[in-house]
Amino acid sequence: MPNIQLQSSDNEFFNIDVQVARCSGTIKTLLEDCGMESGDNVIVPLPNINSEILRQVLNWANYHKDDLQPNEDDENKKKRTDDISLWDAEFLKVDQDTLINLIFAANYLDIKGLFEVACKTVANMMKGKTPAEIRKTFNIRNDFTPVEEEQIRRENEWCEQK
Amino acid sequence: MSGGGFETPGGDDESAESSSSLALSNMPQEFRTALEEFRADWQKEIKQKIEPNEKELNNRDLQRDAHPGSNEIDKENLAQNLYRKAVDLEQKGKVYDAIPYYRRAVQIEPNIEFKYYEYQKLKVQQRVLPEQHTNSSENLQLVKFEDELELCKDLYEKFQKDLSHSYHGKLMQSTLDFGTISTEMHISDLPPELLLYILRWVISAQLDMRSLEQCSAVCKGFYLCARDDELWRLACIKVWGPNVGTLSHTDLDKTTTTTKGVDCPLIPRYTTWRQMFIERERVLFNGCYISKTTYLRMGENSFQDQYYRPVQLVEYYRYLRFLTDGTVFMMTSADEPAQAVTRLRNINQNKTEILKGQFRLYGNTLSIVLKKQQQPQLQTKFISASTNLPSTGTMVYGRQRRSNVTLVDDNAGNSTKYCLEFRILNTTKRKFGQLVWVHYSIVQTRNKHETTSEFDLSPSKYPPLWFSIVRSYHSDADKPLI
Repeated sequence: MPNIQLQSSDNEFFNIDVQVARCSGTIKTLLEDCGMESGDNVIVPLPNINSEILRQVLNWANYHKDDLQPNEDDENKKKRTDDISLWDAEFLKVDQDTLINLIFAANYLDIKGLFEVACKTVANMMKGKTPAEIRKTFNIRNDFTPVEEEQIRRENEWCEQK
Repeated sequence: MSGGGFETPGGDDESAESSSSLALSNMPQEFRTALEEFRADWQKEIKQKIEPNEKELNNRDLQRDAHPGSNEIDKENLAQNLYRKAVDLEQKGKVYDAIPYYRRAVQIEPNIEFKYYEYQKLKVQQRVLPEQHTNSSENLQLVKFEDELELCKDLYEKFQKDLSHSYHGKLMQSTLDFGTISTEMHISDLPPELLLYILRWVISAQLDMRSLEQCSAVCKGFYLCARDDELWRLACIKVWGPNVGTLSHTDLDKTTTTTKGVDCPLIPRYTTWRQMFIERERVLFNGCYISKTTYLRMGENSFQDQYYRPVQLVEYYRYLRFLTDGTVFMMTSADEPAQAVTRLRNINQNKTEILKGQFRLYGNTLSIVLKKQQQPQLQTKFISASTNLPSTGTMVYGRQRRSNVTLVDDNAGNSTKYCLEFRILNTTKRKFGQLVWVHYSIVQTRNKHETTSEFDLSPSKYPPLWFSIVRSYHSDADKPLI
């Protein structure tokens, strides 16, 4: 299997298997369009991703390289992500900074699987929480005036659990 | 000079000409030529105003720059009028017609875009007020004052405005980065489209709109995302499927209900998808509809004591759980809700005591078709077990049990279909919290022969079902809303 090199924003080089790199739709398309699939010594610069995050992404891709065989026909397949594997759950036990970075990287590299589990993880941090809890979790400043807050409370009254 | 300053002179000119032409004929020659000359000059001037070439404009700009004064305001007004005209044209789709106006406006006032924006903002502020002030400057003071007192009619518009010039283009502010610059990523670094995608996960396929509404109360940025019409449109499509219709036009729903012979009131128009989701009749997904039926049944005479005649109190619950994909589960059980609802938690189940089917909404009418999940051996076991239950808590469900027995004897080609119809009602506690029986029948197919048996829906045996929330149903996102 040929290898390719990925260059992170802080100029670290990662020598990886093409198979792993192809988990990323972005890199896959790049390799195909440039006819670089077989060529060795290909360097793909990734100026948006730092080495720390890239290492994690590759770690994930490496673990999932076999179950993520790119399948063109599974576009319409129902997204089955309710089975976050234990490995993924463990993998995503990171601080928020890393989690947001992973979402960015997965989105940029078009790694569907990672993007979905990362989004789901963030969503589960919001689900069933009160606004105050969400603010606390994500360090968001409450920028409403009391009047606005009251009005939103009224707008949302319909779904209050009594 | 304001309004369509460059347009009106043309009109004036024509009327002036027609009215003065009579008078002209009586005038002496020299007057006439002088007047003619004046008029020619005048028309030339107007023409220049309508179609000023670049040079002319530049000259004029230079002149005005040299002598700033009252002309400055005229110029701005003119530019604003040109710009407004251009915007109008563009909104009508006449882009090519709009371009020359834009160009002219920019030539007169390079900053026109921002000035126009500020001007529009002023107008929006006035519109927000219920009294509909239209004249600008003198009311502005009053407007601002009332703005603080009155509740804003449209928070969405307001927050959009607020966010457009704060937080450096971000949607929200971190509590951490007050004064300090941090390299850490914060949720506010996510672009709106990613945040919206995360919200789809929050809503999930189970349409947990409550969590979404909670998000809307976090901060202005979250509010804008959570009120995104597309999210609510997707939710509406999930609930009403092909009958969802559009916001303004709901004939589709009307015709389907009338052909069904069900009289339902005309469906009102909705201004947003969110409003439709909240107000239009539907079933609730974040819990179970439950009814409790209690009745007395005379027992057999005792063998030893002829005078002792036991009366059995039969008590059972009926559970209905609806899923957003149109699936419905029905279960009748003697178990108390606390235990029974958890049995309906797993949506991929295939238990025999749970009937699985599909539901459809027609106005406030809910129709359900259920089929038995075929597993004959388990069924016999289930029935024999139920007859062994103690008399006070027997899972006896009169006629349906009988049909179960017949089904067990059936061979595979035959089927039993349960057709239920309910009216969705509001309770004092919550909207759409009650289902009242309208119709219940069983259609049995045996040897290609169909028999339909209808049930007598006496209120004591078929009390309405009441909704109660089951938190565990929505505790976890399973799939994003798509």
